[in-house]
This record gives sequence, C-alpha cells and structure tokens, in this order.
Amino acid sequence: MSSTEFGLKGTVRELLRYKGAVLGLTIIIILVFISIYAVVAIPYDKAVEQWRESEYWIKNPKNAAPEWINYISDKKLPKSIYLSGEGKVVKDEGRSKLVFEYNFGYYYDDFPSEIILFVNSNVTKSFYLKTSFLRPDGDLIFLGKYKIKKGENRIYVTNKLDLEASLEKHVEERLGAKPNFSITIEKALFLAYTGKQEVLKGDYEIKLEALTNATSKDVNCEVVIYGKVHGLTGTDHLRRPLSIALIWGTPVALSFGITAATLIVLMQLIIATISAWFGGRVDMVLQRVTEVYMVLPFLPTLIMISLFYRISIWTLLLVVIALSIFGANVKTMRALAMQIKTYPYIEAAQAYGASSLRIVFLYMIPKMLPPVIPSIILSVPDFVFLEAVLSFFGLGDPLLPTWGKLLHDALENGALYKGLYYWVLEPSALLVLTAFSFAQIGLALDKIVNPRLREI
Amino acid sequence: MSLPILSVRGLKLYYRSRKGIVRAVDDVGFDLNRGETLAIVGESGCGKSSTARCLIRLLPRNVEKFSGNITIDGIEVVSLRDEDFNSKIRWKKISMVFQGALNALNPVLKVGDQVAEPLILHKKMSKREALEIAKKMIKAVGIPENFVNRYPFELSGGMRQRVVIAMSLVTDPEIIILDEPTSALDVITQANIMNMLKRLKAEKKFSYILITHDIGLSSELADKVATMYAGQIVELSRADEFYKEPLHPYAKSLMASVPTLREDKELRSLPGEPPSLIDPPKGCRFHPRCPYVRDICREKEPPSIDVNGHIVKCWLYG
Repeated sequence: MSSTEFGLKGTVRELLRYKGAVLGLTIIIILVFISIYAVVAIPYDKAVEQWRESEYWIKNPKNAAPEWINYISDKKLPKSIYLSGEGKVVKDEGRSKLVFEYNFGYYYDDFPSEIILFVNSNVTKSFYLKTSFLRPDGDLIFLGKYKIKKGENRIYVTNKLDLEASLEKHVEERLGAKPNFSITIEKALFLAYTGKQEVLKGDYEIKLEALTNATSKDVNCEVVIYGKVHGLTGTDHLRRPLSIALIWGTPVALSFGITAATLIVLMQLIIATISAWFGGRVDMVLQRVTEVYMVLPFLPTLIMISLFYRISIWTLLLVVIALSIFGANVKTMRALAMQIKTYPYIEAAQAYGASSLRIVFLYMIPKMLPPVIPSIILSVPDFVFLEAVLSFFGLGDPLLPTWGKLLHDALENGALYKGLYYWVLEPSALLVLTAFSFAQIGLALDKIVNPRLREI
Repeated sequence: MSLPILSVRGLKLYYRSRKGIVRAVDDVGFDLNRGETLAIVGESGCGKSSTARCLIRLLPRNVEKFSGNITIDGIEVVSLRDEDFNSKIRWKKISMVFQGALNALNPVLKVGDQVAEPLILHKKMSKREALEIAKKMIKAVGIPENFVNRYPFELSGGMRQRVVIAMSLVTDPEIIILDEPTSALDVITQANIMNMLKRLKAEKKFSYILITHDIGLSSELADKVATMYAGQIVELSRADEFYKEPLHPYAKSLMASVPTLREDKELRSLPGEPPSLIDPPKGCRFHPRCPYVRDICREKEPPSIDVNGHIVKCWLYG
C-alpha cells in the first residue's frame, strides 16, 4: 500500500481500466493535437484573415464535397484541373501571335462545376484572346474572343450568356432534338451526344491564341476547370476549405468548454462553501443572489448580450461564467458543505485555531472536490455546445472560424436542401465526438471517485 | 506548593435552544497542578465536554452565557479577546484531543502535514520546519516515520488516535484535554494508548484533563477525579480515595455499575433518566434518582462540603 495509489497516477491507471475512458481519452488527445497544430500552423491572425478574404481561395471549387467521397460512391466526381504553361510565338500571315495549348484527360462521371481563365498580361496595349475547345470526338467549339488588358484578367467562361445560347443550339444540332435537361456551358462542353446526361471521357484540348506580338514572358495563362470535390473536408459557398474552420474550431471549442466548465464549477464550489461556512448574513446574501440568478433565463440573457454588443468569444466566455457562477449547483454544493461543516475534523481544526479561510480552502473544498471533478468534465460538452449554438444563431465571435459558424453558414446557404451533407455532418461529427469523449471520461471518473457507482 | 497551572472558579456555560436555556455547565470549579491528571467522569450529557470546550474556548454560536474564572498559567482567559486567546493560549498552553478522534483528521491532508498544522498556525513556522518537528512527534507517539506521507484513511484506528495525540502535543503545551481519547478503540489499543500517555506524561510533565465515561479507564491515569452530574461537579477527590470509597450517592452508583474481574459482583444500574438541563430539579439535582433522598434534598441545593480534603456536594455529609 502506497499513497501514490490514490494520487493522480493511480486515478489515471484506474481510469484506463474502463474501455470507454480509453476511447474518450484517445479522442481528446487527438483533439488536443489538432488544437496544437491549429495554433502553431495557422496563427490566429492568419486564420481570421484567410477566413474573411474570399479572393484567397479563388482557385478552389465552390461547394465541393470532400475528396474521399469518391471512395464511397461509385460515381466518380471530378477533381479540379489546373492547366498552365508558357505560350509559343507563332507567325501567321506575317503577324505574330502567342499560342497556349493545354491537353488534359477527363475521365470522371460528372461535369465540372466551372471554368475560369486567368490571364496575366504585362503588355501595355490590350489585345484579344481567342479561345477554342477541342473534344475527344473532334468537335471544335469556339469559346469566344476576349479583350485582355494590362494586369490580371479573369474570364468566367461558364458565365457567358451568349456562349450558353450558342452552345445550346450546337448541342441540339448534334443530338437532332432538344435535350430533356437544361444545358449549361460546362455540361455542353463535356456532354456525350447520346441524349443522356453523360460525360464524354477522353483527352481534351484547350487552345488560347493571344493576338499580340508580345513574347511568351509577357503573358501568363492558367485555365482552371473546377471539379466537384476538394481536399479532405470540401469547401463552402465562398470556396473556403472547411478544414480551416474545423481545425481552428477545435482549440476554440476545447478551450471555451474546459475553461468555462472548470472556472464555473470551482467558483460555485467556493461560493457554496463560503456560504455554508460563514452562515448568517453572508449565507443569506449569497443564497438570495443565487435564487435571483436561478430565475434569470440563461440563454435568452446571453443571446441578448451578444446581440447588443457583438462580443468576441473571450468576452462571451466571461459573460457565460458571470451568468453561471451562481447557478443551481451552488444550492446542492452548499448542502454538501453544510454536512461537512459538522464533521469532527472541522471542529478539531477550529480547536487548534485554523482561520476561516484556511478551513474553507484547505479543509472543506478539497474534501468536496473529488465528487465535483466528474461534473466538471461532464459539463465541458455543455459549454462546447453552447458556443456552437450561439455561433449557429449568428451570435458567436464575429471573426473566428468555429464549428458553430460552419453550421450557421450551412443553414444560411441551404446546405441540406442542396444535398451538401458534408457541410453539416463534419462540424456536427466533431461536436458529437467531443461530447462523447468527455462524457466517457466523466462517467468513468464518476465511478472511480464515487464508490457507490462502482461495478464489482 | 506552587500555583496550580489551571484554576477554574464559578464557570458557567449556558446555551440557547428553542425549548429554553440549557445550563450545560453550571458553577464548576477545580484546580489542576503541573504534572497532574484530573479525570472528569459522568454520564453522557452531564456537561463534561462542554467544560472542556470552555477551557479551549470552542463555543458554539448559540451561547447564552459564558462566565466565571479560568486561569491558565497565571493568565485569566475568560476575559481575553479571541485574537489574544488564539495567539497566547490556544495550543501554546492548552490543547485538546478530540472526542471521536477517528474522524478528527482532515481526510485530504497527509499525516505529516496534519501534525504540522498547529506549528504553522501558532509558531509561524515554515512548512518545512514544521514538518521536521511533526516527524519527530509522530515518532514519539509510536508511529513509523515513513507514515508521514500517508493519508488518514490508510491508518488504523489506533494509529489515527496517536496522530491526533501527536497533533495536540506538537506545540509543547502545558495542559492537554483528552476528551474520550480511546472510545471506539479495542481494549488492547486502548491499553497501548493509555500506556503511551503515561509515558509522555512522565517524560514531559504534561498535565492532563481526562474526560471519559469509562471509570475503569480513568483509574489508569487519574491523580484526581471529578464526578459531574447535570452540569455540576458533585464530587472532587484524590483518585486513590475516590476509587476506594466514593462519597456522593451518584458516584457510588457509578462505581457499582463498573464490572470487576475477580469479585462476583452484581452490577447495578441507576433508575431514572438524566435530568433535563433546561429545567433542572429543584434542590439537589440528583434527588429524583437518589436512594438516600431526604426532605432537605428536595428543597435546598447542597453546598460543597469538605470531608478531609474530599469535596462532595451532598446533604448526607452536611
């Protein structure tokens, strides 16, 4: 028998005997690693900036599902195709032009979502860019002639209405009938002429002719054929990868939940013990304050405060703590403290002259702590959810990307209506996982420190 | 003879309660000399523990009256302010071993820290210094030194009792109040503890006030015996005389209720109930249960009568 058996080490060893606790601990360790990674790899300022700067993600597809979806479904969704390279100077009838030829294979089961041409020109004089598209079946489609000015040019090929009209006609001609589905530009370009909505698989070519006598160094082109899957987590309506918010949401959720739960329970414990120990007027005042707080509706008050002041998450944390320290828990803890107050060892401490503060902090609170610790851990998910709920209502931190904010964006953009399930499921899964892991550890700890619950 | 280390005169402690005023200690007086042991015996609720609480000034909130004279080592303490009592008397001059000592230890403090507490509080020592002295004290009460890092629940009842005793001795006080020091312990452990107390007394010249309802146990240690009944001391005498021949009828019946090993004695109990301390009987408080009751007992409270140095509060000797 040694006293380490009852210390932290012993508790952890005993905790590891419960499978649920091991699972919970593993998940929490992973979440902690993600948090550390988030804070180290994407510093706060950078995360906020990237999240708010929509230009940053221009080369990502919109509303793209995560890439691993292709392993689950038998329909292979396209990834984005990035085409770039130097142009060649070609002499044609005495006039020089710059030609860019890009070949790519397209073997996916779905159409791309968008095509954008990025043209960077150093030429002072503006010039025209002729664009054409060669399909595997030899069909050559003219994509239009665009004026290129000095600087950065962005041509949203798939948004040109006149091109869409002409392509619609072209498809009707090839099919010999009006198709029973609507034609968009990206569909028309990659459609197999079978009458069904099928992709023509094979090698395509895009040709860009810059009608200028500039050298190849002066004009850079990039063609992006946006797919429908992107990265590990997919993207939202502003092309932002969800992973930023998912990764940054982890330290936010954990620190918010753990800080709130720990501080609130400890403050409640201190208030309850002081109330019970001093009794009389102190008790009277503290208990009446508690009762007023208990009547105060927590969530509406919180919503009101965050609506009026648009507070940051750390101010929100303070408000949550301030609103909770006089919770109903104070009553139950006070009842426990009243009982402990009558224990002989407290009387003995009084006899040898321990001061009131010493009795409260060294004699009573440590004695009450063990049954309280599981409740700290069990209440962590409450506050993680609370933060998510407030963000979901659009009342969270205005800057930080968090899990709740993803859900808020998903709701606002009709993610479920559009079938973008990943957008809702990913943050939800992380929320549930966090809650699950803390609950598992809390329940196991409860069994350890509360012997009446222990299974033989 | 030198001045007594503790002198109590006319001590009164009344509590307020819903039913009325409880006269827990009513005009108690005695002297205690250096190195002497006074045993206070009596049945439950007779005011033994309340007397002890007066001495160490551990009074509940509902005190109605606390008066009289208590002189400890020449200092009058009843009129002392709480802060002065804390800094000059408590644990420096007088300390206490608690009733139900098994639960008198803070369950979340290690034994060593626990014993060091009074030193930190009263001698303003650093934790390390205090722990050094605590270790020595723990050894002195017969606990292996490596136990200092254990928690109270890892100790047996007897060991816990020793720790509590160590805690009361660690600041080297003059007087130690032992309030039921061995109740809830088995007889062998009781004997061990009593022997240890005897040895410590011989070594360090402590004065003990032993509060117990166990007359057999009190005979082990006592030099003087005070018998309490209904908040008053009804008999105060030297131990050898008391155990041989108690004078007060109550003390007699107490002795008659103690089993002896060799004699084939019929044990007698006392009929009736302990009197109410809210409304004590008129005259002698013992008269409703007294086998020798006379008319005067019902009318007038007996004075303290000195019978050859044997003080007894009974009309039989008046």
